Amino acid sequence: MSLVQIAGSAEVLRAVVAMPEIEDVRASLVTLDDGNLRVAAYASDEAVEAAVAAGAVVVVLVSTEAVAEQQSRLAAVIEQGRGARGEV
Amino acid sequence: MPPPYPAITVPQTPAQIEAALADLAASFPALCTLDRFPDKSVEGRDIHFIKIANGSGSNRPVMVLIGGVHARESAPPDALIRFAQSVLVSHDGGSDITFPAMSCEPLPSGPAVDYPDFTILASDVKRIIDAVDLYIAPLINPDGRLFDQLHPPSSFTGGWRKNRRAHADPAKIGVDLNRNHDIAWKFEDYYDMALYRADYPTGPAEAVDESKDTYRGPSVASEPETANVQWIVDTKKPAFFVDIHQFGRKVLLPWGLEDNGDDPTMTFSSPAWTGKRDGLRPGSLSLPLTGPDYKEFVTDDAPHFVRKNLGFIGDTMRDAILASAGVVLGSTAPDPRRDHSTFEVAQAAVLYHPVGGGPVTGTTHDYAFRKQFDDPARAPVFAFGIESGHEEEAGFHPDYASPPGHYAKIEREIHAALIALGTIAAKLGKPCLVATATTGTPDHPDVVTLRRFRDAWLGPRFDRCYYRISPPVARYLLAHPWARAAVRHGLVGPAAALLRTFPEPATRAPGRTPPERTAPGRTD
Repeated sequence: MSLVQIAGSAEVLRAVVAMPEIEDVRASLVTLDDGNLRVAAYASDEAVEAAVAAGAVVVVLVSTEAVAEQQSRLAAVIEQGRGARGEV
Repeated sequence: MPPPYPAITVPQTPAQIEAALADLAASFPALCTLDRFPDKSVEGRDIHFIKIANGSGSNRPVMVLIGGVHARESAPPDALIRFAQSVLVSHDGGSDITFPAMSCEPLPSGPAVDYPDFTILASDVKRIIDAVDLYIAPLINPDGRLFDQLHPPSSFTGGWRKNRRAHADPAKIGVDLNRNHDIAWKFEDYYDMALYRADYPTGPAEAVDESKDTYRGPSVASEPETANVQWIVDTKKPAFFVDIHQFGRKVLLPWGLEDNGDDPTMTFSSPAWTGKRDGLRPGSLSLPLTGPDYKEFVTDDAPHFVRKNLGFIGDTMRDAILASAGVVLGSTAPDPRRDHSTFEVAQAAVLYHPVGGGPVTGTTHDYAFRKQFDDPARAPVFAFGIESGHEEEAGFHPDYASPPGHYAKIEREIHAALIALGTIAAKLGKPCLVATATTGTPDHPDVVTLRRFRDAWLGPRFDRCYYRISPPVARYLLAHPWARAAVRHGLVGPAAALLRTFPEPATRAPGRTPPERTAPGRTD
């Protein structure tokens, strides 16, 4: 799962956000200067490929590996802190 | 823990947030009180909030700030805790709130954008805390937050969104609290579903599917966390309500239900429209050729001009964020700080249209907003959703380290927006509508005299009566110059003159020192 920006026409974006393994964050939707739209999404690597094949321009902001590493590290830090504080 | 409070470097757990609230109440007992929501979370956690105020009285405007409705949105609860700490330390010590100059590295690869230092004056904080009852509930959904923190998503989702309502099927755990509130929750009754589905085929299906992130719940306000939000809205009666979310750099205005309109017969509560509202944008090819395009009513009448002021307040928060970033307002010169700090101010119902997402029902800020339509004496209510942060600041889980400074930037922006809103709340106060209508300004000495007398001597019962009767009276006076002159010279002027002949305590209740109040802001 990577964090991406997906840009394209309204028609392309409607098709892309309906694809499996893409979770668009609709509050991030913006209209670009050229009239196209851009939305952020979390997506599997396969879904990113499918979105590109459908005509969308996809920019990967955080790769699948980096997302997994960052969130696992954060979870470990939080868990460690909870233990140290005696939180239940 | 006494101040100064350290910067937050890791997303805080629910227990840490609860402890921080208790600590603030213990450290600033004259300004801050801790209170508990009536309902525990679905997993049995107590949920607290704080009230920050210097002064008391039924005429103080109320501002309610909530966060952490959606579990994975990690920054808003932390930023709200920091906001509470900042304003309490500032008011207590008379010190400015200062944010040092910083850099933020937008994803995917920068370059870093430099932001200047940003200062919130102690006098501005004092003006707010002295005039406004400020309620902060930083974490509505503690169960969901802890689950998200301890369970990195294994699928393609960005994290856990819902609460943790139990279900035998793990795929069906949880309810989207921001679809569960009592405002058109049963959207099948609100919309003409055949029309609505023509443009938005997936939204309704997802809202009734337990496995989806936007599942609305088994019944209206079924979730204890939802009941808590409705309780604080119902009992504290905020004139200003903000639900802070993440992410997208948006200030969302009501309604989420439909496009806003000016026909007072088109309301969510009108049985004549049950099952007949289209939910479609103006110009949609799916709209029937005959019949009106339904739009949800928002009054823009005197004295509150709610529709106009929603936009004004939203723009003010946007501009405050830009100013905090060092952007020169009005300048069109290229500035990366503007590119990375501009919040779009937009109606919630309109936002999702281009990618096929329809208007939304059951949201927190629509629930708060509806209160003035249920009970006109509650007017005005200005309710907002803020989508803080951005995907270039790592989406739902911003990096708390600096660099890259993602969380630190979000925290500054939330401070800037909330101080701007609080400043408006402090100026608005509870206006003397009739007297203001006759003099044309809330700052006229006669209006100020009458308002002080009312605030000092007349209680909540008078308020309820006055704010039920006075809006239509004020509207009538604004439309009829002869009536305005008659009330001005026959009632308002003589009453104010009479009160001024009394010694000063006549406008001050025994044993109470009314807070210093600034002139209420114009509402036109």
